[in-house]
Amino acid sequence: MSTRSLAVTEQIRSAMASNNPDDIVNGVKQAVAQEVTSLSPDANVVLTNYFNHTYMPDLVVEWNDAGKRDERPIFLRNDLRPEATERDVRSLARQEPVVLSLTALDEPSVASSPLREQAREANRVLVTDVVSLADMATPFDTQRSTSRGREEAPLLRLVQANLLKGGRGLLTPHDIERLAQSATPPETGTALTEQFLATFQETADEMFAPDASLRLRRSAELLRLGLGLSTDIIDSIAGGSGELSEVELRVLIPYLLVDETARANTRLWHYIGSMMSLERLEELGNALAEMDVTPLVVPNLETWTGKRAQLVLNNSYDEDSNVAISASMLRTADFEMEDESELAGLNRGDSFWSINNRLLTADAGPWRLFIASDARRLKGRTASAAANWDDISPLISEFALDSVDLRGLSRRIYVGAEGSGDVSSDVVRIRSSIDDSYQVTKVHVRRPDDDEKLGNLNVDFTEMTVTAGRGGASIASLVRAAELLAHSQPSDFSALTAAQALPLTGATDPESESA
Amino acid sequence: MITQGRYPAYMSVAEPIQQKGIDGADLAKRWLESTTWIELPFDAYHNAPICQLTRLDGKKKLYDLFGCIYGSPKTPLYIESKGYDSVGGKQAKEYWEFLANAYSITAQDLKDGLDARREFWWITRMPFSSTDWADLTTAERMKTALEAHHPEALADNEINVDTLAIAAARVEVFVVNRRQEDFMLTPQELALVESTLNRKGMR
Repeated sequence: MSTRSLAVTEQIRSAMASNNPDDIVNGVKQAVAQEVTSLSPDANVVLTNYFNHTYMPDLVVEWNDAGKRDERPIFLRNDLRPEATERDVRSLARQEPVVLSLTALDEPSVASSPLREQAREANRVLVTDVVSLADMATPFDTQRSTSRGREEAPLLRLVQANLLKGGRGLLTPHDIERLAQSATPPETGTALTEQFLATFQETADEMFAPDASLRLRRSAELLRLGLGLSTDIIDSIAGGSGELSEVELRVLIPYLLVDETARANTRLWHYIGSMMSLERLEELGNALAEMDVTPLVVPNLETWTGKRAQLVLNNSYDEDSNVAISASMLRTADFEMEDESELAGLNRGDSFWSINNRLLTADAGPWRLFIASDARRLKGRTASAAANWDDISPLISEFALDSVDLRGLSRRIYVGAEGSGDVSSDVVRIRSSIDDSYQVTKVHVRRPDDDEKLGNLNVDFTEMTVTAGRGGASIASLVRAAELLAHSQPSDFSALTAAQALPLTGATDPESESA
Repeated sequence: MITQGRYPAYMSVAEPIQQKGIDGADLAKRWLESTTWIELPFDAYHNAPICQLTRLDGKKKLYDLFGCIYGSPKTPLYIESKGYDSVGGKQAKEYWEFLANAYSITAQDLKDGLDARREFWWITRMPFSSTDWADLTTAERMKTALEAHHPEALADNEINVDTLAIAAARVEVFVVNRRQEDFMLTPQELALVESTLNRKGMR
């Protein structure tokens, strides 16, 4: 029995001994909610006005899974007397609840009993107790971690997070011990062997509803693939469709991003990318703070879409001045700063993608590039200089030019097509026939391979932004168009778009930092 | 065999745990909560202090269930549940004590200067004292309980006629047939009903 189990048991015992109804209800529910939150930190725990009621739940766990809202009611019970609990399992089954006892049931995991069988047959009813929850929250009393500081048992973390959402059957402290062991490699650094995964899968199938079990298996297979323990790719991964849940993203991506073998596995990241989006990457901001996410971003540049890119000068690039970017500079550029500590992540000279202030960010030479899935998060500047057409026209050759407003000293000429059509050759003819110095504030361009339905890219030189149409644009297109904005100081953006060997950057590896 | 072995810390020592008693209390709770007007969150086995009331003579009386009848304000409700499955036995004798306790606890409340408006319900599966059935909850019956069966509950106090009327009006007897449960709405149906009626108030 863990220290945590003893603590929650005492907390409940103390509350239950009160002679004040409110103290009992609040004391018990707070103790239980604490365990629920510990296991599912991403969930919202609603305390109802009912306590130990026949048909109204005591708590409701609510969560969002890839944008889809879900919930599960928790019915508190004083104990798990077989007859009463079997009745609960039967009568509450359609609500797919957690029947949670305030006292532990001391039944061996391997024992067969009518209650165990009935709970198993109910398919999506979890019968367990607070001691089991507390044991699961800290199965080994101390959190194992590697020298790099990452969690050693990502599968265990996923099992913890999914227990109340997808757990089923009767789970006593003995079952929980078996489950935790099945999700943890026996020794630090031990590989996820075939046998380990087989045992884990068997346990997951037994203790989780089919969908939750499949997801756990998918995560296990992703880890195995990412860590180079399997070359069987993608098709063999169970549940290979659908989006990864927030918890899966928060656990798996940071874990794999600090592994050299996983970082070099482009197919792994492409596959993971197919089960998420730029928006969901942005939401992982805190979990990925200070991390180089280039291995994940590059393989998905053509499939992930964003709405706006913005280019700003990166003052930290100036080696002589040692001037680092500051919060005030960002505010000057109209950025919404949520956490100024994230500035540390901005002040690095390497070319790699990272998530800062919930923006996909990268440096390229003297420039800093921001990309957002929501255009409103990048407001742009207001008074940057217009571009000289002769400076940008060579760069535009790789795009189809939908329209441009040429502003000369004596003429102003708008060139555009009725539908989507490349007006580049028209502009060349005009430029050669009417001699003037043409300035350009905006151009509308398209990459030839882009889906026409997505619309063109509005490249605004005064705002230093690239804005996609309603359907968004691939990140690759936004980066390419952002290169037009960099015409005054052309830079090499290729490291941000090339799928190549992706070693760890120094900033993501505390070991090398300290070396 | 399944045991609640690991942490039986909430078990009360005040009343022996008997399977029939627990089953009877379970049925009473399910039946009364299915009316949508009542909730009984606390029981003598796990929340002894809150299910306990004090008589005039200072003696503590433990009730099987404690909760309330919804209303404004809520009415405190104490349940004495009996799991008898045959006629006879000690039920009639125990009921005399139940009546004496109801008076004595009410009198003690009033003596303390606060009428807690507690109701005392006797829930059984088997009728008893059938020849006196119509009089079981009358003030006269309660008076007899005090004078002839449990004078100690008065602790040398005179019977107060007004208190007797108040206490008798707050005593009820219900006989619940086991098959009653077969015809109750299911928990799922009741959850739907409650979400519409919202008897208790906002969740």
